[in-house]
Amino acid sequence: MGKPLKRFEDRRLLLGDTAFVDDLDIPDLLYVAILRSPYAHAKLLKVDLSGALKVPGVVTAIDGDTAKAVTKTIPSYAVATLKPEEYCLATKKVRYVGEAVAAVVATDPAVAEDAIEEIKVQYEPLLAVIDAEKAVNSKSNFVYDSFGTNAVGHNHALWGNVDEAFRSADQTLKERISVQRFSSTPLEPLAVIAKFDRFTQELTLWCNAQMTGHVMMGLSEMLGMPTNKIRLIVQDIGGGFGIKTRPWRPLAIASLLAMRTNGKPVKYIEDRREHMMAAGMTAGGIFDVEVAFKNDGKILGFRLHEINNDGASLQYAGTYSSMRATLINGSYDIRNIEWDSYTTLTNECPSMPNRGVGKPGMVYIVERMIEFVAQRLKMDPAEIRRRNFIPANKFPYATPSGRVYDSGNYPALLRKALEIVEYDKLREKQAELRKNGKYIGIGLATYVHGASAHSREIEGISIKIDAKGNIVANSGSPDMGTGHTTTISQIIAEELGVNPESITVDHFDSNFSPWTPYSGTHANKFSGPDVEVTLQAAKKLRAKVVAIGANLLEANPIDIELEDGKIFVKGSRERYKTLAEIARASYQNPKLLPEGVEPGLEETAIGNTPLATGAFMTDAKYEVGSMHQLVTGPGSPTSFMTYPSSAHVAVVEVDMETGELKILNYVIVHDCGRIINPLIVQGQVQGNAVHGIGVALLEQFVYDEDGQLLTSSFVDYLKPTTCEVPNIIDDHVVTPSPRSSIGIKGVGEGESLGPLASLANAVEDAIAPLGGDFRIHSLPITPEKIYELVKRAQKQRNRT
Amino acid sequence: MLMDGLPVKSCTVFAVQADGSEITTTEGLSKNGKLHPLQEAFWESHALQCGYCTPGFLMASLAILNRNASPTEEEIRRNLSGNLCMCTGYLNIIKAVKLASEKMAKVRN
Repeated sequence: MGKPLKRFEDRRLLLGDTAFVDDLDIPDLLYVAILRSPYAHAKLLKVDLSGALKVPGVVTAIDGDTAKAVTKTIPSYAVATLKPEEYCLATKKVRYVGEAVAAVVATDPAVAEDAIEEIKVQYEPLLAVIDAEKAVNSKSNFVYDSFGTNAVGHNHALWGNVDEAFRSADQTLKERISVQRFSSTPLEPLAVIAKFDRFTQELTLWCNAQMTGHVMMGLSEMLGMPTNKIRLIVQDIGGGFGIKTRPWRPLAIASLLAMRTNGKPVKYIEDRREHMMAAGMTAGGIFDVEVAFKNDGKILGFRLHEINNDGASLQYAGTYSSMRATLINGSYDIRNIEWDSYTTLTNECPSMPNRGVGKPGMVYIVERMIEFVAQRLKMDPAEIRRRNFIPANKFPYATPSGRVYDSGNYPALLRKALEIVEYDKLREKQAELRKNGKYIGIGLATYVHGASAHSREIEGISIKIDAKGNIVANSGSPDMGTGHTTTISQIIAEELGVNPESITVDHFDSNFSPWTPYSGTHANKFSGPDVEVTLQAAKKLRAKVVAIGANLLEANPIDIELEDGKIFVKGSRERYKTLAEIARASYQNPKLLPEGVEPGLEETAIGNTPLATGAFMTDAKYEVGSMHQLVTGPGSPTSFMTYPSSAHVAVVEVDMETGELKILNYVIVHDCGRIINPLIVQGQVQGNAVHGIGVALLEQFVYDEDGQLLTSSFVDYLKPTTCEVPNIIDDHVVTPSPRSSIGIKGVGEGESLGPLASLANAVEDAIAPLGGDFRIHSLPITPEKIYELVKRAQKQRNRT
Repeated sequence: MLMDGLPVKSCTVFAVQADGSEITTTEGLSKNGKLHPLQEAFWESHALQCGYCTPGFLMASLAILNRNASPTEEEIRRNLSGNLCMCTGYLNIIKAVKLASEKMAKVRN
């Protein structure tokens, strides 16, 4: 533990011995093609599959009627007041470009693609609902007619005394900012192979789904099949980032087809365009923030009015909004907050969880807000943060929304980041360069993020020392490239005193893996329940090994040590037993077992640490709204187990002629508590940060007024490449979490939250000396936007 | 993959076009289970997470190193910009190519 070990899973990946769904060698495969809606909004009058069924090689085809007859609707995660109407294939209406309308399975992928073109669909196009601000108030033209509205969610909360805060303020300011719809776009798209055994009535799925337990529970419900007749196998996942959380549509479509092919397995892998149109993306947000503050920089309170655009489905509608309540005051001691949050549907791609969910938006709002105040007061952005931080001695800190931050030292994070970047010298350099017509900007972001998943989530793991002393671990949670295999091995190796490389970690198979309803990887969950149960099971095993070893060595268990695969009495290393000998005693020679120790060396741990219950309060005043079940109450899904934090400093140069932006330096100081593998943690920090930089500068899903997606490939939807990423300097501060039995927090989302604000703040800091209106209202910060701002500022300057 | 030593996208080259050419894929980098210095460098530098983009990056990097045994960082960044990675943020990949060029130099000497 604590060592930067190379990952054990890498050798196989480097040799090309990968097991992504497309690599799997399943015999007798048939291939699925999906017919998708070309309209953003239309009545679905008739679907005629007969043409497709006539194509040689086509085995069968299904449409929404089949889906409606034999499956349940796609469930809603957050909205509790409206009944979902959506199935895995469209019925009655199509509601976004790319929505699945029909599916065909054939002996050959090319035949399947040709066959879907023979399906005749009658649409009656309707006006597309695209503008979220208009949609929220629309009195007609609803995405779901029976809802009678597009505004499917409304959260409202009033914490502290907001009116008083505004009354006693020296100044107030108001701004509108927005965050675009984007996605971490995992390189591997959604993929599934489904096989239905008509004799045992068992459905087997090979899928790259992240949330194994959620999928087992939800698919069982949706298909009306018992969970012990569903076998989910998850091997390699080519990136998840949340988009692969619950891929109901491909899973259900493939399952339905598999039940109609006389037992032959069917394979569906979406192509890039399908992924961009239909796999899911973040919710967009329009934020109106009004802040009340004193002239010394102290922020007394703020009002936040939001409109969230969740696309065309109830599936995750309201989730981004609700997640924001978790970090509503950021890293600052602000108690007076009014939060008024609307969620609207539109005829765009449904929202799906994506790296941080609503947290990047909330961090953006708070970190921009404090920057606006600093600008108004002409105060140094570092100084204003220092004056508002939650002090290091005020933990555990209960936020106005009832979440409890476990530990943190935000001033220390900022101090270290400023030291690394040599802040004072940099400000001097900035002034010098300005005199010579060169404009650099410094932007800060100091923030908290929620991690280790939501406090009520539990995981399962079983660890076995087999009859020959070899160790196998099997977790309810899959690995999606974030180093679980190696980290689990490190934890077990530390407890059992073995070489971590000698441990085999199985891939997920619902028949064998101890999954819970929460199993899976999301929200930096691994650092919470996954690590906890691994420790619990490993410790139980260790206790057994120690007891048996003590018996064999005729010693006191207290004096037994485990190291290098040897079990020995402290101080007498030469006289040792091996794990193989312990195992032989355990499985083959019960006479050698001490009193009370049963045969076998296998332990399963299911749960989390009881310390996690410190994450929520029972007497907080919670917000009320249609998303009641998500945001309110103890054990709220949005109350995280741990709260890591970060300080980002972005140093940029703006070209006043072209609007081009260059990142000169990017510094991250993070606090993820105790670090198990520094190499893996740094990899997460860098990967996260580049996601954030992409969102800040490059990425955006754009729909035209008819709801056509204009950015459906990487030609138009820009991702960072090796040419765009700056060299990132990272360091850390450690405030262990009292809620983790080893003091860790989470890493895996955190650094993607900062760059949106740090870069916007940096660009404004660079352009500010020109005067005029240099406000960046929307992301991404493209060269065109910067160019427009510069031109406008120069024009205003020339006028005066 | 490499086609006669040049990096090409396997999905846009017809098999007939490759007739008579020497094709090298990731699987051809290691010999008898012994990793190529490039693969070792990726491993030590933590230049892969999910592994999905790795074959592409390995072959594109090899093409760079075959042309210039000591590429500059600028050269590496420019020549790898045709490959996307969603997990690593690229910095460790760039590090890995630099490390590989050092390893390969040692092997040659």
